Amino acid sequence: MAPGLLSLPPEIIIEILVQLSYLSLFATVCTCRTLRAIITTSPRVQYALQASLAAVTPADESPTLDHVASRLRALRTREKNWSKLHFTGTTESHVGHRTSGIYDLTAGVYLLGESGWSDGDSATTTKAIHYVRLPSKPTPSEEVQWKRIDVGEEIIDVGLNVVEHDLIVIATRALDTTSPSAIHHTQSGTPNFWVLRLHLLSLSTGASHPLARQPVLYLGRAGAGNHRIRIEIIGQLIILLILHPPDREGDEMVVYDWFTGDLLMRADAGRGIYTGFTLLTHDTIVLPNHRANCLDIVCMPWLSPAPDWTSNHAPIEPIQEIKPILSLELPPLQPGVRLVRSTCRGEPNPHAPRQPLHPSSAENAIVIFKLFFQDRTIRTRGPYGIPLAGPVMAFAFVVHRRALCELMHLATGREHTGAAPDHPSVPWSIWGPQRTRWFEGEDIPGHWIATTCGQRYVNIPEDREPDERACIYVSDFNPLTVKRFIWETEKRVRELANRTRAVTERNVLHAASVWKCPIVSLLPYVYVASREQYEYQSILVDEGRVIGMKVSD
Amino acid sequence: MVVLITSDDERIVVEDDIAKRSGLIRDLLAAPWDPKDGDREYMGIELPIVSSDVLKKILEYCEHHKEEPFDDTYESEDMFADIDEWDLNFITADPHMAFEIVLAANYLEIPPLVSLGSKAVANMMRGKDAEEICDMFNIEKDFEP
Repeated sequence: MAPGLLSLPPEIIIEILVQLSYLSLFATVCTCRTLRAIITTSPRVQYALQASLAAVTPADESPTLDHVASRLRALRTREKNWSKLHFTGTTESHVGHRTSGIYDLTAGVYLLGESGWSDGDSATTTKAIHYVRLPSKPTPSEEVQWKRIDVGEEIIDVGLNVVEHDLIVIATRALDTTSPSAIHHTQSGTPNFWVLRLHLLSLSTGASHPLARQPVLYLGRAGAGNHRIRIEIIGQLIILLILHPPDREGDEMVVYDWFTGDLLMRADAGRGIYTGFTLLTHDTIVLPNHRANCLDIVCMPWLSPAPDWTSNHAPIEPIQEIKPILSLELPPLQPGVRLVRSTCRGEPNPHAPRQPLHPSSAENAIVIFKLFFQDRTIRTRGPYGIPLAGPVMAFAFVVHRRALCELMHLATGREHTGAAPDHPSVPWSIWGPQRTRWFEGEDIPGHWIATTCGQRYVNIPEDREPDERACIYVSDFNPLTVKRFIWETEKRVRELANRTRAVTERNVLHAASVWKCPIVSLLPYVYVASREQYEYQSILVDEGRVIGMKVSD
Repeated sequence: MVVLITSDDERIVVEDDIAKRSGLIRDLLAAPWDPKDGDREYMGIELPIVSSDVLKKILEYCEHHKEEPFDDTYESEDMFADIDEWDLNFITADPHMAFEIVLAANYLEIPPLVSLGSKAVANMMRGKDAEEICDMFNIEKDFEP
């Protein structure tokens, strides 16, 4: 005869219960009055339950009971305010500089590039970075302090690791004055050689980062044209996707150890095949593949946390190619239509350091892909009779990071170390419809991709008249939120508000000019529209804030 | 050497270092002893709620961890995330004993083992419905939703 659970002292019962997920807690509530009483009254158990439901990482140092109770309250309030899209306050801050295209929002830091000198063509360049630590309570605008970081070179992109290392990584380019051919071309008006560098700075001081043995890393030379760099930081490692102008050298994927300055990997990324990537797990990335019209999942063994890079210099491998371990095909395109550009984002990153309170869990987070298609067979005449390709059409879809990981494990087995010469490719019709939700028109993220955090996606229709106001929409893809919403509406527990709705029905996109067949997608979500309308042109989101942008001339 | 007497009257002889993983035994051994009360080793320490099966199992744990500093805090990390392999094998070898181990470890005051056992018990509850939880833990179901 097994001894009864109830013979244990209550603190041990609580110790057991806090380990349980919401499902087991719901089952246990239905067993007996004693356990029910413990579950419904213990702040620790309630906190574990709430964290499991909201898919956030609970704060984990052994806190006192008071702390647990206040954390529980904070978490409940936050989730309730999100579900009703109730804003508790507004802080306004004036951006004093002309902004460029560079921005980021992570761990309460919002960053905007400063538009700088123009190098003769129409492209906007970035000459400095301004950032602000976002207040979590309503604050007078004069107390919101912007800081400026200028490294004296043109900035191409920026990466942040705020919580763990107070690190800002700034990728720059500068004219290579040492090359004779550069001088030659400069005289003719087109600089031909650029030096790409990575500056490793402490965010709070703007000075060289004390942990970086080499505060400036030399990335290499590059020819004329626009260079773009995508940066992700995991702990000690920086992953870069360096995109060169299409007619120049091939694109590269590079991994650095920023503590030592060692180059750990440099892989050939083809030409114009990839334009963005996001992390799937600590050692796997997902990249939309423009040539094959699919999502490539690539394992980066360099990112595995095992080796101690500091003591043992890792050998630099010869240039390798990016070899996917799995390709998830996107819906088949009409002949002539190409995927021409893509951006993607999932926040927070896997293995991101713990933020102060209740970060959404990275495994459960959604990833948003925004895809731009163009029919290359249509030719129209632009100004001065220049032939132009057809219009660019944008679509977006949402998928859970967890769903992509499960597909990876299903298709490749748990051990995904080596890339097979013929990696598996899964047709869209098999993996896609159940696991994704597609958007078009005004429902897709606009100018900014930082419209997701955890399982939420925020949106405001951007295509409006300048003085026209619009509602903010929040879509929550947490399956538990959806289940609970449906249950509450059925049981009439919740008052039916027309601002809120569960979207469980199929969505069909009929863009016959882009796809061979209509796209069906089924991933359910709950959306809520704000009670009021706002004049913001676009919005961004983090764990507890929505950032609205007003643009002036 | 310490002699531990189990609920089924078995006398188990253990090295001090191993027995002292238990806060209870540590405190008992630290308490002053009047030789007039008899030979301490011979008298032994009675553990009336711990059976010999469970005690042997717990001593196996104590022996494995005897070199480590005492940890008197209960941690609550992710389930099994940071548990070392030996501990994981130890606690999952006989799932039904996990429950008795927590009970005894709590009595003997071995916090890391209570924490490990709690995780194992929680793991047993995963995916079970109310009926199954009642059967498994000998709970009289007195609640209908």
